[in-house]
Amino acid sequence: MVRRVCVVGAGVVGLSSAVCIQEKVPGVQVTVLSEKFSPHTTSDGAAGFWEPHILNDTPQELIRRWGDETWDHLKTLYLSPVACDAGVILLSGYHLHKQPQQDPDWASTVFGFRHLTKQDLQQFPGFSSGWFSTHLLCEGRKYLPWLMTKFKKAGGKVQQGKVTSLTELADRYNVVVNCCGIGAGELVGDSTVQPVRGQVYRVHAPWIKCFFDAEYDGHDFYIFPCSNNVVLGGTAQKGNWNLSPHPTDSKAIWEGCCQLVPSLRKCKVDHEWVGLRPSRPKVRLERESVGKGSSSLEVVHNYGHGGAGITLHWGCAQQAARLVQEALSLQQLKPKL
Amino acid sequence: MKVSVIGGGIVGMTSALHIMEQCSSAHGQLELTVISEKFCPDNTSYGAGGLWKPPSQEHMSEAELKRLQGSFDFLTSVLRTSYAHEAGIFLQPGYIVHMDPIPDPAWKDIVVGFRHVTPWELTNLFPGYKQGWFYTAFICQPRDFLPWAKKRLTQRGVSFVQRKVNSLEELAPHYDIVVNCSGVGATKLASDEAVSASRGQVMRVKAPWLRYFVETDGKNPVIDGIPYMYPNLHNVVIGGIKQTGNSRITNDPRDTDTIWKGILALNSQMKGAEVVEEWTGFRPMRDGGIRLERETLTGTSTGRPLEVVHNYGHGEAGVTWSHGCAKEVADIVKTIMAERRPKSRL
Repeated sequence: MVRRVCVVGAGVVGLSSAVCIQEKVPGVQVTVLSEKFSPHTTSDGAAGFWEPHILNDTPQELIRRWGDETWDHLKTLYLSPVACDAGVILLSGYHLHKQPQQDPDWASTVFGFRHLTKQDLQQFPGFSSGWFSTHLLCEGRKYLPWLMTKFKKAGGKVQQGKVTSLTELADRYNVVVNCCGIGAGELVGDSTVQPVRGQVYRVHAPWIKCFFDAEYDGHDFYIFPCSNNVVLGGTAQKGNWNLSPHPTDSKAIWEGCCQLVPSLRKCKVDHEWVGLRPSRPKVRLERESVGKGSSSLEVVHNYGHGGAGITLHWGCAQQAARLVQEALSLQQLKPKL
Repeated sequence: MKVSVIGGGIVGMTSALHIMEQCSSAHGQLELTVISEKFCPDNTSYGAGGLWKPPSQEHMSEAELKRLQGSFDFLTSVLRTSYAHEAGIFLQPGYIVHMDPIPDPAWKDIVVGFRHVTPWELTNLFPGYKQGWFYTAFICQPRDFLPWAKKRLTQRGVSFVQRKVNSLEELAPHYDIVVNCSGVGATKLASDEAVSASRGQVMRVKAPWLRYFVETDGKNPVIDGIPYMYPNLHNVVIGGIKQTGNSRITNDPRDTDTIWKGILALNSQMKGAEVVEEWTGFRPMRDGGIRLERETLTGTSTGRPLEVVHNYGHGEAGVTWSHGCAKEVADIVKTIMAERRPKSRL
């Protein structure tokens, strides 16, 4: 008997969960149901830089586990012929600070992590310390279509639509995986989900071959060269739902980035974009039984990844697949009435 | 003082820039002319990838290290300006990998963040190679830098003449000082038998996702040729051809094949990358290294000695050496101008 699994949400968390479930859980038919698909999801606008970020109180051992699993996955993709299609890039660059900071937990995961020397810092007046490291970047704009192709090839189904409550899916599916990101708050009544608004420019500046990330005085200005354009950011405004670029933010980002790399003043702006990072005190990745009787449903929640959706996605997707397997096994023991 | 620079490639143009910078306000008026048989896009520099990368020697003289430091410092100073990319200059991290382990290079403290490659990088990115270095260098793309330099020089009153110079002596009636940056042409111009041409062939391909350069050294049994790839502004330069004794000026399909085989073995993601341009050029090699020195030519048609400053033989590292050598050339020119300054009569 075919068991049916529905993944709600088609961002990086949803699509990767769907693919992992197909790969790891035997005998299931997976459907991805979402209001939005690439290129209209939050993941599409993100640069996709691997670095744990805006994860609040998520336990460090989980960040490490999920982050390292994702890093390994990206490494494998990078070495394979599909790297280009999947949007995976290896790149190096600078983290800049105005005061010395403790080495980050991910220092031993990335390649060649080192402290900046006086010589490095000569290039960045105003900054007195920092790091240089080699990271992987996985562009949502390319990765999501690549995942979707993989998903469909393995027999996955896709449906467009908005879900107002999970139990409405109870009659059609055995398990529902909630990957709604910023929408999860409304869907399951979780008031701890808050947006952390991020605004960016996408510009043409092909002479930028490294990344730059400067954190100081509550600002985080960053420059990430993706495959076809360069991301200039950013903002991290808690509780701000505004999806339109704001001129004050545009100006601050522009000035902040041009101070880091003056030649950016001459670049050509392609467009501006705003995304709402789905922030939560901790990532929610757990099983829940909802509803009663004929509308009872096994749910696997996988949302609230803050600014680390791409950084943690594969590790979380693997865990979500394991939880789906658990949920299905449980269901076999107590069949629906 | 009438000064001419022979050669409009990276060595000649940087020499002109630094002469104007250091000498134009000192010791009287300076009139500078750049004379070249070929300018961009018809010269050797046009096709070069522009990577800052000196020869991998463990030991270098103080003078050589000073030149390298001079080049690196100049590029660093341009990097912070708003026009860096117009001059084709940008930061570029990357790898040099070797078949046989060699000691760290003499210049490792001049570049930024020199380190050895991690075991993962060596095993997965460069299978077959035994050792690798990683550092942040510059790319200074001649095909952007040279037009930018020409504009700047023209603004400062420098003239450009396109013609072939057949002998240094023929310039004696017209110039006080000649700076000889003739590259491969120095064989004839300076009667220098140590100069030879090393043929190179490259392609420019679309691979905008490549964020690091790779230079390989030594013959890897599983890879054809000695491949290399450098990101440039709009394309990636791929190559791997270094031939002595071959004067073929057109692209050779057999070399194209060798380059592709080497590059694909090095990085399979390059498969299917669109080729935008193919180009052949000749690196100006010199046995014994760069010739950078003053020579006073007597017995000229005017009876006056002609002061020559030689600056040629930069091999495959013209971009790397150019600014540091140019500074040294400018110092020599300044000295000559001081010597020639008319002494006031009592």
